[in-house]
Amino acid sequence: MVIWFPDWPVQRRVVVRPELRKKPVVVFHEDARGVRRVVSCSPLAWRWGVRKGWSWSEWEALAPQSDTIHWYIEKHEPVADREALEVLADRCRWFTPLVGLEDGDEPEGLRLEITGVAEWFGGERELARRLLAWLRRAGWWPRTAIADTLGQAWGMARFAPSMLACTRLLPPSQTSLPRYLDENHAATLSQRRRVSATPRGVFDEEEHRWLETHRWEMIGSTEAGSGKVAEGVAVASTVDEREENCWILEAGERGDFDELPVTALRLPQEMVSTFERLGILKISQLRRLPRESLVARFGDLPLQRLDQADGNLEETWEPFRATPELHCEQGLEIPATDREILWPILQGLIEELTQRLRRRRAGVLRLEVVWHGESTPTIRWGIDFFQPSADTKHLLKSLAIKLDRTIWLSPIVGVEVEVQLDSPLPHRQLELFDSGDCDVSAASELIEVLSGRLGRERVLEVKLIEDPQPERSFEALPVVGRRDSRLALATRHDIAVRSGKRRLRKAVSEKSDLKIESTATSRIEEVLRRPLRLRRQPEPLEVISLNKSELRAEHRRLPAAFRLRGIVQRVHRYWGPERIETGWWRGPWVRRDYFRVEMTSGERYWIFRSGRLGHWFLHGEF
Amino acid sequence: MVTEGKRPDEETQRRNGQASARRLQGLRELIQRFETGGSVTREPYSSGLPALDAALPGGGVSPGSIVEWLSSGPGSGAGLWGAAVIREACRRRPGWIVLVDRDGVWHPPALASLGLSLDRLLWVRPRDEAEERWVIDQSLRCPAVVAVWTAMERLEARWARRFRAAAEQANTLGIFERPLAAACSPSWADLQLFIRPLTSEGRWRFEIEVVRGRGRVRGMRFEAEIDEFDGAIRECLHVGERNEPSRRLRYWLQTSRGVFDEAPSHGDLVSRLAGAAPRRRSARA
Repeated sequence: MVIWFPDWPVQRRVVVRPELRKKPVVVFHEDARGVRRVVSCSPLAWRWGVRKGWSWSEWEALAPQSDTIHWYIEKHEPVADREALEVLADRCRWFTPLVGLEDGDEPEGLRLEITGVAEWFGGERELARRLLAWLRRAGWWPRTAIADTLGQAWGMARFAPSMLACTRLLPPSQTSLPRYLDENHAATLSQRRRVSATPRGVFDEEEHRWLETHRWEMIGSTEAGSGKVAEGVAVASTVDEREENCWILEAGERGDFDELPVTALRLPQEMVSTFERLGILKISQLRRLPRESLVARFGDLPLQRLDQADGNLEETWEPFRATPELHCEQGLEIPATDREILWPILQGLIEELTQRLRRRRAGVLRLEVVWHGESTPTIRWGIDFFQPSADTKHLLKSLAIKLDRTIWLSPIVGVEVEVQLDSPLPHRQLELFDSGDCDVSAASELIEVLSGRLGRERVLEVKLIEDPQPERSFEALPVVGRRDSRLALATRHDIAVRSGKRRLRKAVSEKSDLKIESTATSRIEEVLRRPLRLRRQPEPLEVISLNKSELRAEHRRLPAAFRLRGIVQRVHRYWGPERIETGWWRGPWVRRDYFRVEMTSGERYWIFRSGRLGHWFLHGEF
Repeated sequence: MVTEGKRPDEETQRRNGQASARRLQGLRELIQRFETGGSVTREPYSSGLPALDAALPGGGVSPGSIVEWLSSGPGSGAGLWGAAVIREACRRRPGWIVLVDRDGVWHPPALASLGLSLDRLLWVRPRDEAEERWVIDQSLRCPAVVAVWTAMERLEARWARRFRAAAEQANTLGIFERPLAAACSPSWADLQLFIRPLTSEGRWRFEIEVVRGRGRVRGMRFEAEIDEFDGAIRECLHVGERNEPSRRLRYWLQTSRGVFDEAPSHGDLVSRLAGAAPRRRSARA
């Protein structure tokens, strides 16, 4: 069984924030050069014309911009997307123990092995119905397919609902087909036995939602909410598949699968394009080609995929294991709020967890403790660590601070402790004499104490980014709860340096790509070119007069004096302009002429003139 | 005979000279102990100003001390001088720099250009004043931290005492940027410097005055400049040593007296009794 979540990046956000359902959501990916492209968009955004793969400029030019449309735009977060899918996969283990993620760096679906499991739910259809109902209640809009092989299920989950939708449109000549289905395909499908359609149809509200969900381009003028559409659109009367949104291929049946486009074989896009140029659009057409010529022209992959889909070639996949052994829980027979009762329980759970961690030679980086209240909602504590730790005392120390500060509104009936992120413990050789490693524990303690009280988003490390726009020239990242913290790696490097372990030092440097002191020397020519303090929002300057006589022609608009904090400041000398013109691909055009100015009081500021408005702003202070 | 007779004299003189040097060294150490309040002598960091280093007990800014840079406000370049001391401290001792920044206004690329390694910079952004005080205290107490750098408007005496004790305990350097008005309130800093940018036609020039400090540094004034290309500090003029504040500082003290002559709190009273009393001392002078 395969479950596909169309536009997973958008779905993840909408489920977390249900208010986004009524907004057009667009997720952009920004590459290293800062070029933005649409990765995913919500059904509503699709309705407004947004398409995947658009650049930012295309989005600006083609997407409607008005005061009534409130676009919700977010940056693509593949790691967070994957983590959310892993959480969902873990929860799906309620239906079957073998659940896996799709292949690839950015999976959008799950694989479930339901052989021998479906009978417990009353059959495959009932299992699919219950699974889909459960997912829909949680706010997801998935598509599923059940087939003999993984290849067939994958193709059917992704392409069968679209195919079904095509069959509902009669006659094809009066319709404008969706962009991702060709006309021949639709014509073939329209004659299939499952279609029972009427020449006129009425979309009710639920159908509207379904059409939006599946990005169906409606024909004619629709009146949203009224349930009326123009003539010429037909809707299938059999809606059972539509409600379930699940396609089940009976054992040995492959007719429907053969009608799918070649893309359903999980082939690379370049190969699919080549097939399309050759007129091979469907899997059935591909099957008719001689196998030898296919191998000679396209390699082993098409045949391999076909054999995998037919079950002639075994396909293995690795089930997702969400660290099942790093989770402990305990229920309380009598609900309690006393610290004297709760603390020993927590101690026992942490002791058990650290024993398991030590066996795996791993340490915890992110720990979650869930307290189940009798009448109140569950209380979740998320605790992040700077270095991977499997020390019971260390973990309990962090938890003790939280426990002492908590006021229980309802008696606790159960406790769960789960390791959400772990990492291998750093190898440390035992020393006969003190090598100064006590600093590491002190440093870890400081970071964890600060993060525990202020929150992980307020204890940060800095990474420079090659971006000319000053406010985008660095990135601040949390120090705790990350495997790739540069501060942690630098600390390990220091220990290696101090203890003289050349091999360890080299290993740490190579692994982390850490270039110590690189930032200190690489930009030495830029000393005093950038201010020490940069305002989050440039402050508008009140210009007192314009220095027209003394300055050169191109700098004539530099103010001779401006009012700052109520005091008139006069410019003594200046350096500039330094033009920064960037960010056109991000949307708002940045075009600024920066000046470093020294006032008559000796103070130095960084001011700029906005290219678009011509106004002056104070952006930084030296 | 003559040469034989001279030899014991020269030897005696040499021995006497060595004994005198040792005695002098011992006396210097004793004086230094008095000056530093009996704390353990540590290898000091250079402040960037050779004349100031020579006058400071120990020959520079001591690790485990608090240094306050007073300025009239942002844009006066006080941060550059703080960065210079921190850069020197990081060069001498591996560890972290904790930058406590409540407003989130520090610009990391500029810090990198000043020679501070961002791989060792911990940027903490507390929400309010209470959190800010707590973060500074915790960071100063951590032996893995070389320096704590922050800018703060006001500092209560009880927190100042805590910071001082924490810095001494963990051997951590505290660099605080404060407004000029802080000169009117009691301070527990080991060294308090007033920095004033000057207009010039060449490099960026500053006038630095020691407001408070142990030893014989109080009242010393310097003029120095920062090279815009390599960030090097050049001391260009040692203006002199005076026991009274400069005219500009005195003007500030007089104009802000009304604001700072409020009834002191219990903590302030204790600190004034135990610590320095700048106005009274300046009146004496």
